Amino acid sequence: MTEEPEPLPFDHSKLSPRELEVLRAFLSTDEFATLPPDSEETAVLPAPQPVDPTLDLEDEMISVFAGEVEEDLSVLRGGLEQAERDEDANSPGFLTLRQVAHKIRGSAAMIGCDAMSAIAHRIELVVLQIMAGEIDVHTGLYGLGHAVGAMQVTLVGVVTQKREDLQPLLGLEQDFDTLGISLAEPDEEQTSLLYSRGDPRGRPGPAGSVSIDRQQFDQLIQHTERLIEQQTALEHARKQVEEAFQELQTAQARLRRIEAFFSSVFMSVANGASEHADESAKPSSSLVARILRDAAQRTGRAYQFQTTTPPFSLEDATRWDELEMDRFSETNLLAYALNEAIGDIATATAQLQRALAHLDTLMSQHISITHQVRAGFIQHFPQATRLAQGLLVRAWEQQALIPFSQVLRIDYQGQQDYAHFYTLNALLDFPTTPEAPTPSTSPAQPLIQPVLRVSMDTQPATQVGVQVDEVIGQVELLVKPPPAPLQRPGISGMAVDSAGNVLLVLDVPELIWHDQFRQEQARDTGAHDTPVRTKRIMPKILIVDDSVSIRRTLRQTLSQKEYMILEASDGREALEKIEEQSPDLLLLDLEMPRMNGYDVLNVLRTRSLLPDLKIVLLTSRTSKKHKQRAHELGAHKYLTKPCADNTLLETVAALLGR
Amino acid sequence: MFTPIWACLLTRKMAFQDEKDAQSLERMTDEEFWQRARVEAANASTPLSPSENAGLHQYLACELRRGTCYVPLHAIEAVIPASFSLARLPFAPRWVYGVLAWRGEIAAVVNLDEYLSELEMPFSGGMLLIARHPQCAIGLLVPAIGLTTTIGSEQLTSATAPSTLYAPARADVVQGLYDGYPVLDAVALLNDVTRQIGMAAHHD
Repeated sequence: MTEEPEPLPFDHSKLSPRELEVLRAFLSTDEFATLPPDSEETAVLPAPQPVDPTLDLEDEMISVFAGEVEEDLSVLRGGLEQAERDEDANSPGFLTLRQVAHKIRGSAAMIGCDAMSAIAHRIELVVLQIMAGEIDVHTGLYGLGHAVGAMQVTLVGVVTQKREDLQPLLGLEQDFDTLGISLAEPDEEQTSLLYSRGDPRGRPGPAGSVSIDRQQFDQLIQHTERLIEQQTALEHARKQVEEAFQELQTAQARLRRIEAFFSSVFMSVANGASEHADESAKPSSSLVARILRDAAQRTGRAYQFQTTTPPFSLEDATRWDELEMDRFSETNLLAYALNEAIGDIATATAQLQRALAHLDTLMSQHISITHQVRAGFIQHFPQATRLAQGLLVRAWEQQALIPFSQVLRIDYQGQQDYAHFYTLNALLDFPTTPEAPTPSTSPAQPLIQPVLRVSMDTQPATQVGVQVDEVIGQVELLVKPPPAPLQRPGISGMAVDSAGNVLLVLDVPELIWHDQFRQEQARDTGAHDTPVRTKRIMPKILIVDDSVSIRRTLRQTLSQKEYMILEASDGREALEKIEEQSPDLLLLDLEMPRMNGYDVLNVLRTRSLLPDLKIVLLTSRTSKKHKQRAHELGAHKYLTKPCADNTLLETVAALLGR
Repeated sequence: MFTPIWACLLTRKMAFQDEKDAQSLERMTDEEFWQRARVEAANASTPLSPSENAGLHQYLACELRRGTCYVPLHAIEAVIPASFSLARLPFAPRWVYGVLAWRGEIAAVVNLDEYLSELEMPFSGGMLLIARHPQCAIGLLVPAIGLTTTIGSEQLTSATAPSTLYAPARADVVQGLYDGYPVLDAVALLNDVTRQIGMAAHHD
């Protein structure tokens, strides 16, 4: 990418047009786009300069950019054709031309394709002049046809030679001169007036108002009506699931009775076999074992226990081998059958859970659910004492067990592409370790804390990172449900280790849901000073721009620092992402399809969404009126495209207090 | 000298007439064993003594930072030195220091000083009184314990002014004052403690 020069140390607005021309000639290696942002108000369009056209871009970036411009060019041609058919200055084709040209202007400038950006700018200006009646429609259309052709040729140069060919731009200048098209900028009021004639997307709306697409509003009404029709069916489905759940509970109760019966059978067999037991056999009761141990410690004598473990157990049944059937008695067969029955019930439970999840999805598709957490419900299955295998982790001074089923993998390479990042300390409301200890082997290097990658059962499924202080190892422990007053969301059970310490058994996804719910509650009640349980190490930045290449360029720039980057291609998607992901900073374009930047600001302000959200406008609009409007609507900073990397990084860092 | 647990078991085992009963005892988990023991103890408990019938009850004097308080002796299951490791319980009131394994079940450990005063009073050692609520065992941490005292209902006076020994919000767990010090109502105390621990799971 071409590097932007440092800002000039004097006021350009004091220079006459002639002096500016001289300055441009002097700065022959610079680009016109680096002139002061308010150059628009000098009413002089910068002339094409013999800039160094070599693009310092990766092939991949060129490919992304070229693909995007190709698509935009076909839309430009469509707009041109429509305008030619209509032969009217009010043709919607002109609006299309202006919007797409504006988009290309910004994205081309951001990646250093200045000639292409200049051509796009000329298309914008010609369209505005046609709409203002300053240029004859036919002459303007002729000029626009040339401009679109020039842009196509420039694009070919970019793709094939990784260079910008300046000839098409210079030729276009000559064509415009021949056609008598003057390229002076229209003043701001005129531009606003032109937008108000039919372009709701480019016009800053009044405070508190949002443009609504009539067609989509009708669709919303239709969907709502359909939802009402389907409500009965959905309720019926829910009832069925509840019935299935009750049946499952009955089956589990039956299973418990069978289990008790078999236990007594096993014990009687065990007692029968005890006469032949090995004297060194260990007692099956931990209590008896402890008594013997205590006695041995007190008297110094070793006590033997005169019984044995049963000749087989349920555990044996899990190692069932059909080739060794002759070794097993009828009771063994029954044990195996019991084991299979347990497996069946486990399968049924899993199926039921899937059915519940499916039902939830069905409901959420038809009901306009803004907050999934609020609308969702957590279905708890009856839990009894069970054996759990999992990771033994440390959070602060506390050890906890996280079942293997919840952890996809352990990352040791810092924060990656997680949808969210949490620390277990914060999720558990524990103090955050002030300073992580450094490993003894390399005291200079900070300890990299392990991050557990956990899958969240969302639509679509997301993966989040949960940082722990230490992964100690793996354990298998008997887990009990906590007594009622000690039950906590995200704590599925408690276990006691061999040293008699209590370990919390965690349900990490539920812990995260609970954390989000608490934050929602805090936000709703206006308790902004409520301590936020989720501690994000990397601030989240949401880039909102309809240009893929701009988003990509910005992502590359911001990725130089430790930021988690999110993207949205228009205002509506941005609002969804803001609600879902709670970013710390918004990098917002003004002109976008579906919902523009001003509307986003309006919604954020009127709905008091994320009051701490920092907002940076990054737009091609350079006039003071736009800046003033943006600040009135709550934007913290206003940057113009193209924006130097350093400026962007410094602005973002300052707003995030880093 | 304490009787070792195995001796208790052997003694108790001898008390069973039926050998089958003894076998089932051996198969029990710690938790089941102590549950059984509690049931047996309740069945074997002696009727109220004449003094208890007369409204006299025994209380254990607990030395808190701001003075003494009296805890009904009948509510206390065990008194042990507070030298154990606790697991922190998330989303719990500040005065809940954590949970510990007690005879095969999980007990919540509460700093009685902090609970009563609602002030931060770091615990630096003392005794743990284990009390039982139907839903959960509760351990009450106190800096020190004193003697047991028999107090009659008529000896209790009601507080006429706000006490420096307990916060006004805790007035419901105090059944009266004896010699100027609060006498706790065990049932009200344990109910309130468990209720607040449960509620804290869903509220900040």
